Amino acid sequence: MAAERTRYLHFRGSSTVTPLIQAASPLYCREHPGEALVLTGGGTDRGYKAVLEGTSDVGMVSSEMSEQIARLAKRQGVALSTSPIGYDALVAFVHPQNPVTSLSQEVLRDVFTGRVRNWMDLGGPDAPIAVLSPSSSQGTFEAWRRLVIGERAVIRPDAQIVDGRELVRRIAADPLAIGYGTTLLMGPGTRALEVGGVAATFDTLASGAYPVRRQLLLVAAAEPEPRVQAFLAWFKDPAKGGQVIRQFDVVPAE
Amino acid sequence: MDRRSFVKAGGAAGIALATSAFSWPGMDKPRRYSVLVAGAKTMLPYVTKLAEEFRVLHPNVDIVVEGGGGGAGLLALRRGAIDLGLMEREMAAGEEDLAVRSVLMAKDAIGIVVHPSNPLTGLGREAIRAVFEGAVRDWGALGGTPGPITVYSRRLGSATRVSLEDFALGGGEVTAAARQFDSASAMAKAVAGDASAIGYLALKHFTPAVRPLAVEEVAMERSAILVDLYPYCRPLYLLSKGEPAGPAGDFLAYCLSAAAQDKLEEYGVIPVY
Repeated sequence: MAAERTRYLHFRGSSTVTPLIQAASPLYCREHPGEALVLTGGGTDRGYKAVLEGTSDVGMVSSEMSEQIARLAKRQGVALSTSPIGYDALVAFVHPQNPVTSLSQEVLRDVFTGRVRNWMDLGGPDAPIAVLSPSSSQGTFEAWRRLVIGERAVIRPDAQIVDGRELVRRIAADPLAIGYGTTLLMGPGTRALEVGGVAATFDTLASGAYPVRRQLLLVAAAEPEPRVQAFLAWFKDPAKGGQVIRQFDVVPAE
Repeated sequence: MDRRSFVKAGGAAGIALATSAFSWPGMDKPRRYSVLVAGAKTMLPYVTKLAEEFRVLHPNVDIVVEGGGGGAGLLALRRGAIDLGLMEREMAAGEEDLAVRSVLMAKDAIGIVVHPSNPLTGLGREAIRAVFEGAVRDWGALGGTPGPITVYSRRLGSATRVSLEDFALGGGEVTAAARQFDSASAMAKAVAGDASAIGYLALKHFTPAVRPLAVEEVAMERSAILVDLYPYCRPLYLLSKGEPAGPAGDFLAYCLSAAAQDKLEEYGVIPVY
């Protein structure tokens, strides 16, 4: 008797949402033998597009559809279903040895646009600030621009462009570097900065005291296949996917 | 009308592709079609083999597979000079084009293997790089049992070797001091017989006689590769402009079929359908 083929569920898009699906995978697959989750990146817009085109089952996204994607959806006459996951915090983060612990939103903006270029201006050593940023195809980039840098401002052109875990690795290796990203990708090798004296915690995120937050979502076809439907339902279930979300500092959507 | 003439895709792309599709109107000959596929060199061996399999099923379709790199393939695709592009990474921010459709065909991954008696269970990326480039030569420096490290490698030109260099050496080269082997099975056998050895294999070539190392504390398991947790893995994408029609669409559909996915597993990559 031929062995049954593994059935794959395809996920595409946001590097922020990625850790949630990675954490869900072993649990989900244990409960659903014969199923496997496949995941690749490409950013939020690519996540939307993959579902619109039918090349992925689920899009991982960290913002509403961009205008471009909305037009594409309209042109193709395709409707999407959205499953909100919750809110994450975006933090600026540095090497653990960096003496700086908090920056105001205005100073953060100045650092990332290049107006402030030396750690000495921030109470640190006399050394140039090495700025790292995810690429502009990532929702994280868009959100930081919208919430911190300012819609009309531009991130300094000499910022090093690095995505996801690699960005975290680089910061962990360089005491003069600063980057930004979701708390979902932070690790013991880096330290998140407070914004105006407020640290990003589950509580400050839920209350809005921590100002830099955005919504994370899973998108799928308006009427997804049963297998996709099953995953989305499992992920929404507080006893199943909810347990995964609770491991991260994500305020669940409710 | 099904004949395509392919022009040099501009100076930037640097790919010149020509077809010699032909038909004789009025004659009772089956029409020939051409499908042009180009892009990431590292995907060529797999896609070429799938093209040969496809040819058996569709003898009137010529699938021409070229290299040139993922970026050049994308450019050629956007200019309409080719039917399908090959990319072994995500599109960069500057390349992103929402008119281009990308389908995941498979994943590629490389494992680092040592002798089962080696006390180390994993290494970080910097350490792996240092070892394969020859900068670190003693297991003691890595927290293992002191003694010389013997690096095992495939020969220049091997796709597996290119994978290792891409993933682990960031463009660097395997040390000239490495012992070289012609095949994965020869490499596996050699590592299994040498307590000082370190080598590299695709998942499908692992044997119980060698021990894979975790990389950055992530073990090389299929599930970790599938969800991008294992550091030395990458996506293998087929790109098209919108949904491909005709023979190009048939070939793309074939690549995602159970038969082709089984073949891809045989070729040493990880199927995703």
